[in-house]
Amino acid sequence: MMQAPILSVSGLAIDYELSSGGLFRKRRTLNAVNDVSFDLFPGETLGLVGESGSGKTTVGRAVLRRLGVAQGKIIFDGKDITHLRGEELRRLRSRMQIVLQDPYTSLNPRMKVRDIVAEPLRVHGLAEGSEMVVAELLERVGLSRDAADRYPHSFSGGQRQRIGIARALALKPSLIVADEPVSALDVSVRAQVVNLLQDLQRDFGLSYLFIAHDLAVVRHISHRVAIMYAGRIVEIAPSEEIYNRPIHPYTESLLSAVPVANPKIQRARQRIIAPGESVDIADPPKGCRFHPRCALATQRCREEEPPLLHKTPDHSAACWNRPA
Amino acid sequence: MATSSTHVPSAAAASGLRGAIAELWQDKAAAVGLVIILLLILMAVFAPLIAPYDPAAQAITARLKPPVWMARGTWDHLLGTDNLGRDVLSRIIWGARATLTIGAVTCLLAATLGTLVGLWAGFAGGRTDTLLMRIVDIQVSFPGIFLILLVVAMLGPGIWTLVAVLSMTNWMVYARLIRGIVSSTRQTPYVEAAELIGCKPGRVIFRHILPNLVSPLLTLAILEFTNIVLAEAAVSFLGFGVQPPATSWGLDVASGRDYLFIAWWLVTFPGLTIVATVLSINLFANWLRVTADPEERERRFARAEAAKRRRRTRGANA
Repeated sequence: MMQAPILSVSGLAIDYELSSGGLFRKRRTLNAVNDVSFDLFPGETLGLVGESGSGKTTVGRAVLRRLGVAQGKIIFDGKDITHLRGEELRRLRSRMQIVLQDPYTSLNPRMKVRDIVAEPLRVHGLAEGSEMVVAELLERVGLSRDAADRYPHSFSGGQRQRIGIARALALKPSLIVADEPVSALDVSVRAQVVNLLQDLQRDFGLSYLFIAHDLAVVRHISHRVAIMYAGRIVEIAPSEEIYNRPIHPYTESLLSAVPVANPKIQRARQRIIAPGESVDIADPPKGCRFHPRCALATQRCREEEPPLLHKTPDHSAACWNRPA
Repeated sequence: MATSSTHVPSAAAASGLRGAIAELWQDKAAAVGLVIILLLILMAVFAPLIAPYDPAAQAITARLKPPVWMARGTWDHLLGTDNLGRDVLSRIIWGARATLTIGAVTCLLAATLGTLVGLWAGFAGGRTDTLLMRIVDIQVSFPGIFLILLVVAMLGPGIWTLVAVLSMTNWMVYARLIRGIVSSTRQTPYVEAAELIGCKPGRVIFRHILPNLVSPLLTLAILEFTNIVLAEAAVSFLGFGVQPPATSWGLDVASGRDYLFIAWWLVTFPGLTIVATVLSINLFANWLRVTADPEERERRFARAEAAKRRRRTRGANA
């Protein structure tokens, strides 16, 4: 993977507006994501993992330019898209797509599947011959052609997610942000959809930014994994590397929370528990954001924020106490 | 069941008007409602041909005649006469003109204006939203009757003045309702998906948000129709609305009120006509609402099919 990255994010910071401020109010913002940097290469899947509120969805939305960027740069296919607007941004939409979490609410209940899948083509002026394209897409994602004439409500969750994937594929994007695409599905269906995503990646050379909290799924699908905590990436490394040799204490405790199927091993394992609650990002602690819950925390951790550094050539982590 | 039934409604839609009529016939109440609405409209249009008397013709000798089936009733005045000897039936037939025009046009204008404002506020959000909704608040707190007096003083009384005034005092409720639905629909994932696909705002609004507004709008518009009829009556009663010799149902109800205990028919028959109208619209609108929602539409279709099958087996057994 020595080619140029399809997506390169550097120093990304995103603020949410709490109140827009008026005549008598001050504008108040919440810093949801800070100093997030990563590269995503063509045909690669980067898993973005973290607990609720860690900012992983926010990063996904920012990459798609749904959210305003407070700081940093987003470079897509060699082009700076951080401040793209209007028609140019609209045209960019055809090259990066999203698969949403909840298949029950992400399809318009009043549109037939045909119209849902063909809509991206229509709005980008490719309506001609869309009938054929839709039929092919539906077959490609494992649905029958006559699904086109039906409404979303007559499909199961897994089938709906396939429709959502077909819609995302319609414009032949090079990047797909998958925002927890399988977490709303039954376990039995999950594997099928994950495998479908992998097949599509192989066939179309897609890059995925795969946002999830299910560590097993992420391990299965991702080439590299980034762990987020309280709006920052705390560790980023190739998938097997991070699962076998975690560096950051937060990653360790996260991984130790995943049960192992073998009860003997499971009983022998040591749970690493990070006490306390996740950090309130409206009022983050000084220094390392994980230090109030960290067993290794020292004075330095309480005062200085650790940068994300290479511990080995392809394994970076943000921790003062874990040298390479 | 849902799967097997899906193709038929769309096939019916393909054959256009005939399909629609066949589908409407499945819901007998709605079909009856539509027939009554059409009859009322025809009655209003052909009032001069149908009405037995001039609605304004007074006959002092035939004052306060009861309807034909009562002791003193005569076949000359089927539904009796009022305190000036005017034929109640003729007045109802002629009154349909003013009432239906005012009701329908006002509802349409108010709903359009309110929906546009609501869509704008809900979709734009932020400061635009705040500004627009404050305008709505101001308009709501402004006494309607004062506005009516003001406008009538400027434009002079008449049906169209009434339409203008009633639209101006009734659009806010639509704006509030629509704005609420729009700002919540805007957050739904499928609207987000539409925006991420690259839909322009117009397409997002009309393809993805507007269809959600059909059923609440229909419901509200029907409730408002009754309100408008009554408001028109009140304004006409004060002498600012429909001007005699023209008449309207609301005006008849309002002016018949004084004779309620000696001539109940003056209030009852125009009142019943209003009830029948609103009920018919309601029945038809309910059908329309279901038709606009694919999921409910298929369910209705499945129910009808099941009923048909039951009838068939019962017929075979007998």
